[in-house]
Amino acid sequence: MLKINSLTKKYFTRTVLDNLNLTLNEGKIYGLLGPNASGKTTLLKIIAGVTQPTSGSFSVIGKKAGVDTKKIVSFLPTINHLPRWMTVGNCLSYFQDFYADFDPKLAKERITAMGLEPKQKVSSLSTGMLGRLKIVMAMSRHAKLYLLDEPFNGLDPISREKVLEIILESSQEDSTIVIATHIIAEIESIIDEVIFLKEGQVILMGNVDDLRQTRQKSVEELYREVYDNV
Amino acid sequence: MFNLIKYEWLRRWKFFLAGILIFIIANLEIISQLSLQKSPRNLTIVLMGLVFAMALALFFDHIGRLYRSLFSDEGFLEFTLPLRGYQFLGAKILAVLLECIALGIFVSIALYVDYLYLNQFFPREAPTPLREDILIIIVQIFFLLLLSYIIFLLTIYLSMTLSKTIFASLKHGKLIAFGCFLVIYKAIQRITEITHSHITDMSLPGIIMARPDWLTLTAILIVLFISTSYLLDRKINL
Repeated sequence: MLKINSLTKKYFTRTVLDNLNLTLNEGKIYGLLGPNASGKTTLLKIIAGVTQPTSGSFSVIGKKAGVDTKKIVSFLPTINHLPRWMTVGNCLSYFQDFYADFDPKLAKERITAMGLEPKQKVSSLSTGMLGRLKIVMAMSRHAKLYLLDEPFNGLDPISREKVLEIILESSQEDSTIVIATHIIAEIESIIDEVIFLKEGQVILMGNVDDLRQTRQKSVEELYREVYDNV
Repeated sequence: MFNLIKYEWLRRWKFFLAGILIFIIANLEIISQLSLQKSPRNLTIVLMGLVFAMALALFFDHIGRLYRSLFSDEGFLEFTLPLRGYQFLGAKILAVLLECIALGIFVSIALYVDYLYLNQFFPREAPTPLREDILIIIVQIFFLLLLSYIIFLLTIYLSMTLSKTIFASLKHGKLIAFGCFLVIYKAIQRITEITHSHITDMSLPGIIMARPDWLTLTAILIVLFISTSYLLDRKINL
């Protein structure tokens, strides 16, 4: 599904991603874990196409980075990327106009289920409601790769639960979901694989169940062990 | 590409509507004052001031369209759209171009209606009708201004894009990009001066610019458009 070859990203003198190599398979949910400044967001931004790598390359189902990958990658950034002047209904039409894989029927159903109204303005939504709208927009595409950057940031427990529900609903055999977070407890129950990033490099990667069995630890305990000195 | 234009206009239709209404009211006010042979009232001055302020706001809005995409969070939505750099930039420029042409047509129609009104009811106050050759010069000046405006906007767009591409990782990227703007602006000025000095003899009466002048300006526009599109497509760093 996603193949990353020797990806490096430098900001002036600081190296954020350091010769990263990674292969993700389809039909799985990956937890991309790491403390602040470990390179999680930069990696997702590069795959989403909003940042360019200093060197290296990646491909999604064999397609090289560019318009072709943007057609099949759905990105949910941490910040609010939805224009504040738009209504919820405008957001729906916007995604429908630009993404061939957007499912407006599914989006409308989810919007109602999330307690949102098409006439509500994005600027009037609370953080929780905005988080719900963002996840509905990102996950109502039939994308091949979903990149979710801190999807639970600033959300109340009820909103978190609803976001989690949508992520699970959207998990398909022919698609891959990557969730970057440092709130491990929230995603531990739904992830199949885990990737630990540290200083722009993968320091540990594997199947969650295998890691639990071999190390006799939960992912959260493993996280504490790996990043103990960070 | 046309969808982007649709959302550009959907975002600011209230602004356009307000501008059109204020302009019509200001125009009616001026005409009524003229027909009564009175000096402009305070209201007329206020309304004309408002029209001028809105034109200025539109100019800053034209600059802000790419600035918002590059420097605000909305960029994370716009730059993940499956669009190529030239489609993205083309939509922004085409929207500006169409707005300017629509504005030109709207003002021309309003002035023509004013002329018809004055001619019918106050033939003495009505200005003499424009000769065809003067009309051609006015149209040429309009398109020359439009072309120069788009080139100026593209120069600003290129500089802003530089600060989010090549100079994105530098501490003073924005400042360097501003320096680039000054250099590009000066270079364009110099190129147009050189080409103009070589072709002034070719200009004909009634034609404000010879064909090579238009070609030079169009070539500058194309170079600016291609380089900005390329950077937006391949080098963006939000």
